[in-house]
Amino acid sequence: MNKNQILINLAIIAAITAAILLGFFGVSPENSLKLKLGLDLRSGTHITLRLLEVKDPETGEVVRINEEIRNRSIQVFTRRLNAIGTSEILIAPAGLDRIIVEIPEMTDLEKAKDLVKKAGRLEFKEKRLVDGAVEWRTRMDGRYIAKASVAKQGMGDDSWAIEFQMTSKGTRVFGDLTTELVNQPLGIFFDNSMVSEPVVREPITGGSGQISGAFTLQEANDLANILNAGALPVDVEILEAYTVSPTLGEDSLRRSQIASLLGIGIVMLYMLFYYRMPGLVAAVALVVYSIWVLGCMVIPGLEFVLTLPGIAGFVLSIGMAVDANVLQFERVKEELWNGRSVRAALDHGFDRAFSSILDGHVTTFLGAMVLFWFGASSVKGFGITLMLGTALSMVTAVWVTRQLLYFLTDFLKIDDQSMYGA
Amino acid sequence: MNFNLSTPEIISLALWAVALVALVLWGQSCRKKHRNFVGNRKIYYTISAIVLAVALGGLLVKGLKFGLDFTGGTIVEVGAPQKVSATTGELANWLNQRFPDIQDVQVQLGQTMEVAPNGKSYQKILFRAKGQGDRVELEPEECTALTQALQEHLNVGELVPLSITSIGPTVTGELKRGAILALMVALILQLLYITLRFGNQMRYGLAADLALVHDVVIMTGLYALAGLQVDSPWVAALLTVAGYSVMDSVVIFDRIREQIKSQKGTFEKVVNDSLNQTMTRSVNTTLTTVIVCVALYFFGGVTLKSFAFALLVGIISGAYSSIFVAGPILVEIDGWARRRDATRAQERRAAAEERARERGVSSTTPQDEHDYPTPGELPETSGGASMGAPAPRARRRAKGTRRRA
Repeated sequence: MNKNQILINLAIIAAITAAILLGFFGVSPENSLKLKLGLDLRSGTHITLRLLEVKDPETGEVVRINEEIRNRSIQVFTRRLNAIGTSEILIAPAGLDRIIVEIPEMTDLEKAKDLVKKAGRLEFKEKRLVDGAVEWRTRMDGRYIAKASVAKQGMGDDSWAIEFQMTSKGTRVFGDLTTELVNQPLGIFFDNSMVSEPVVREPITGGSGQISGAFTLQEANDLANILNAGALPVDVEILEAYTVSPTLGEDSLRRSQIASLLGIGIVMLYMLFYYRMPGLVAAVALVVYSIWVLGCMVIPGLEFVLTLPGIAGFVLSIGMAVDANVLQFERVKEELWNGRSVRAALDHGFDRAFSSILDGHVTTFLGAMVLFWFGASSVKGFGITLMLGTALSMVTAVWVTRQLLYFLTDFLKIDDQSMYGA
Repeated sequence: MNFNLSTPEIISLALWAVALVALVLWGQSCRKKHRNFVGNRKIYYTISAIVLAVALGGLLVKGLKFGLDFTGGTIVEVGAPQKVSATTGELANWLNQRFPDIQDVQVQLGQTMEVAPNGKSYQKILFRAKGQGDRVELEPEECTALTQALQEHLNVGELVPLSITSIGPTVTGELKRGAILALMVALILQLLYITLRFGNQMRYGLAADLALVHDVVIMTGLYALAGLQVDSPWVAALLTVAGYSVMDSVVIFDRIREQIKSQKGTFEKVVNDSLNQTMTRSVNTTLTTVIVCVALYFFGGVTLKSFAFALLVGIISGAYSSIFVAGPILVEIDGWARRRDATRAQERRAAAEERARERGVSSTTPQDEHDYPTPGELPETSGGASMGAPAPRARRRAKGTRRRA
C-alpha cells in the first residue's frame, strides 16, 4: 500500500467520524441528530396488541388478518393517538397480527389500554320483534361520520353529549333511515353496547345529530376522538402491557451511561499500558468505533431505538472489538520476535490474525442474528446492536487500526520495536 | 457521583480487581513458561466436573425461577419514601391472606435507598402476582387496591408507583419456544460454520459445541443457585455466551490448524503448543470483556444486574472451557479416531488375510497403506496463510531490544 492510499483512507475515516460528530453536536440543538430512546430509558407505556379474526356479521365468513387490515388498524391507532398530543408515539407492526404501541410520557396504563382496546364501532340499529323477543338489526355504521365533537347536554347537571356531522353520502343514507323509522326507536350502539335509544320524531335530513348518554366531559372527549379516528377493522386483544415511570427510566439511562463509559475507559487504559503504541491506536480505533455505532443508529430507515439491553449489547461488542486488536498485536509481537522489521511485522501479523478474527466475528454474528430472529422485542434490540457492533468492529478493528498504524510507521517514523511491545 | 454501593459490594468489587490483576500476572508468566496443558488435562477435567456437579446440584435442588416473561402475570413496582422493616416473606404472606383472589404472590425489596432525579430517595418494592385460573394478568383496579392495602399496612408514607408490567399467556408460550429454538439454531449454525471452515472436519465443531454445552450448564446452574429469575435478558446473555465461547475456541483451533502445517509433532504436542501460544491473547480478551461486564454489574443499575451476572459467569466459563476443555477434548477425539481407525485397519487386514489364505495367495496387502491417516491431518483451507514460518517457540532473538521476559 503506498503512502497516498494511506492518506486517502485516513481522510475517509476522519471525514465519516467528523460528519457523525457534526450531526450530533455541530449544528443548532434543534437540528442535531438524536438517538431514539426506548421506553425503558425514558417513561411511558408499552402495549403489544393482537388483531383478532372476526366473523363478518353479514356473510358469516371469518375475516383473516392480512397486511391490509393490519395497516388500516395502524392508521386508526395513529389518528387516535395523535389526538392526545404526545410526540414520538411508536406504532409498529410486529409480525402479521401484532402491533406494538409505545406512548412516551404516558404512565396511565388504564387510559392507554382504553385508547387502543376500543374497536370504535358506532352502529345505528333498528328495533324489531321476532317471536316476541327484541332484536336489534344494524342499519348503518359509523363510517359516514365526518366529524364528531362534544356538546353540553341538558341544563344544570354536568353531563355531556356527542354531536356528529355526516358526510354527504351519509346524510342521504341517514335521511332515508330516519324517514323510515319515524316514531320508532333508533338504537345507537358503541362497540356492541347500547349508548342510547331515542325515538325518531321526524326525518333528519341535515346529516347532523346528537348522541346523549350522560357522559362526563372526559368520556365524551375520548369517544369523540375515537369516532373521529374511525373504527378498527377487527377487534384487538392486549397481549402485554407495561409502564415505566420517569424515575426508573432516567435512572436506567444514567446508570448504563456511567457503566459504559467506565467500562470503555478501563479497557482503553489497559490496552494503552499493555501494548503501548498499538494500544494507543486501539484506543483511538475504539473511539472511532463507538462514534460509528452511534452514527449507524441514526441512519434514517433503520429506525434504531436505543434500549437498555441495546446499551448492554454495545458495551459487550466493545469487548469483542478489542479482542480483534489483541489477536493482531499478539501476532505482531511474534513476528517481531521472529526478527522482522516493525513494518513487515505489522503486515504479516495483521494478515495472519485475520482468519481468527473473521471466524470469531462470524460465530458471534450468527448468535446475534438468531437472537434477532427469535427473540422477544426487548431481546431483538440487544441482537441488532450486537449484529451492528460485530459488523462494524470487523471494519474498525481490522481496517481502521491498520491505517492508523501505517500512519505511525510510514509518516511519523515511529518504528522502534520497543514501542510495539517486542 | 453517588454510586450507591453497599459495603459487601465494595468488598466484592475489590476482590474482582485483585482477581483481574492476578490474571494479568498469570498471563505475563505464560509468555516465559511453557505449560503442559494437555498433559495435565485430568486436573482440568476434574475442576470442570466439580463446577458442573455444583451447577447441576443447584439446578436440581433449587430449580430455575422463571421470570414474568415466562410465567405471565403482573409486576407492580412502587417506591417507598422510607426503608421498610418487614421481610419479603411476611409481606407476601400478608398479601396472600388479604387478597385470596390472586396467587403466586412474590415480594422483592430494594437493597438500598435509591435517589430519584428529583432528589428524593426511595426504596423499591416490587410485587408480582398472577390471577386465579385462566386469568393470568391482574386488572388495573386490583393493582391499585394492592398498592393501597400495602401502603396502609406498611405505614411508611405514600407509595409512588414506578411501573406496572402485565404479560399474557400467549407471549409466554412463544417466548419459551423461541428461546429453545434460538439456542438450537445457533448451535447448529455455528457447528456448520466451523465444520465448513475447518476442512469439513466435524471434530472441531463438536469440541467447540461440547465446550459450549459445558458453559450453558454452568451458567444455568449458577443462575439457579444465585436464585435469580430466568427472563428474556437471560436468554440474550445465554446466546451471547454461546457466540463468545465458540469464538474463543475457534481462535485456538485456528492456531492448531496453522501449527499442523508448520510443525511435525504429535497432535497432542501441536494442541499444547497452540494453547501456549494463544494464552496471552486468551487472558487479555477475557480480561477486557470481564472488565466491561464488571462495570455493567456494579454500576449499570438494578435492571442490568442479573444480566451482567449471567454474562460474567458465562464468559469466565467460556474462556476456561475453550482452553482447558475444547483443546484437550480435541486430543481425546483424535485419540478415539486413531484407535478406531487402527482397529478397523486391523480387522480389514485380518479379513484380507483370511481371504488370501482361502485363495492360497501370499498375505501381503499393499492397499492397506491408506488406512493410517496422519493424526490431525487437515486438507488445505482457504483462510490460513501458510508461509512456513518457524515455530514461535524456537524464535530467534531479533536484533531489537526485548524488554520483558
